[in-house]
Amino acid sequence: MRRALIGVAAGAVLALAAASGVSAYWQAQQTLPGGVATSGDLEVSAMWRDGTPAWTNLYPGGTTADATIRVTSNSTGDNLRWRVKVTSTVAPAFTSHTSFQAWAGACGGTPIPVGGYGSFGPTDSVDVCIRYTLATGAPATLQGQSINPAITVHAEQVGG
Amino acid sequence: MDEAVETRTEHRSGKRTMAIIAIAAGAVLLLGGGGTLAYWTTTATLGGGTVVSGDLDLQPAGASSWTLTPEGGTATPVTDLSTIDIVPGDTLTLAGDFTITLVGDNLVADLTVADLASLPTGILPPVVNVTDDTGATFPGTGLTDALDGEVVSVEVAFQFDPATSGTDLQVTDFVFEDVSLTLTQVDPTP
Repeated sequence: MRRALIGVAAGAVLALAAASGVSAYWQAQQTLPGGVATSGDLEVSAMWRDGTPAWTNLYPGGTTADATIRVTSNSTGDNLRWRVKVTSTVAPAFTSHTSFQAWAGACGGTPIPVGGYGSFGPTDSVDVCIRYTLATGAPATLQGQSINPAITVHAEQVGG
Repeated sequence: MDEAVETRTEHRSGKRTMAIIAIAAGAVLLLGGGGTLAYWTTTATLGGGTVVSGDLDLQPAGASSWTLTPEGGTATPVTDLSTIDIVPGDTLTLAGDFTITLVGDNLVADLTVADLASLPTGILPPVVNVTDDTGATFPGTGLTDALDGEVVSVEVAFQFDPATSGTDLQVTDFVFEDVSLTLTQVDPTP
């Protein structure tokens, strides 16, 4: 009985050795020094460059006066580059009757595509000009209502 | 009374006889089992020789250094890790020269990063590359005695996961432990 137990134990040890790959192969090791690195951050602020726009009432086919948003990055990162994206929402009743346009720089200049524009550095700024246009076919039921525009500026890291 | 003594004597004699027979039978069995009966034998000697074992070693051949590479960009030297701010997609590479000893007709070895108890969150598993004295670069696996005695450049690359999204892991310390490079013999016919 004792002999049988020893046999089982030896078998188990061999099985463990095989399973864990601890066969006695040669090995040499050297150590390189580590260290601590810190990640950067991506942070932008956006404000009306010339003050909050005082838009006049819109009418079908009408367009808001040009308004410029200054987007300023206060980011860090040795290799950080970012692009700007601008999106907008309006009151639901106006969604299908209002168009929104954004350009980098002056209105009518370089359109900012849906996927974003530019490759800016960590402390760069970019001006974004925007316009809203009320469609010519906008129904009369929209008269006297607020469009309630909300503009969102995104900064998105640009990959390599 | 005399009859009783005689009977005991006969009984003892029988026991002794049985013991002798048992011992003799055991001896015969042992001799037969061990095959030591005096059959003919002869011996011839083959010429021997000396076999020398190989060698496996890894020794630094200079100081190591870090570089920082943007995704798809060019590496720049980093003298002090604490002075840089890394962003997703960046690769920090630790490079050093090593003299490799690989002696053995059937010796195959892998160069790997060992004992890296914990990678910082957001850092992909390190990639080891070896560049030999011809300028050829290859992964640190399947190294053979063709590299024996060469000073090779070893690079261990840690990439900040480019899939890091939103504002995850911004302004975070990434602690890179000391990196242990291990040259380990592996099965040449896996």
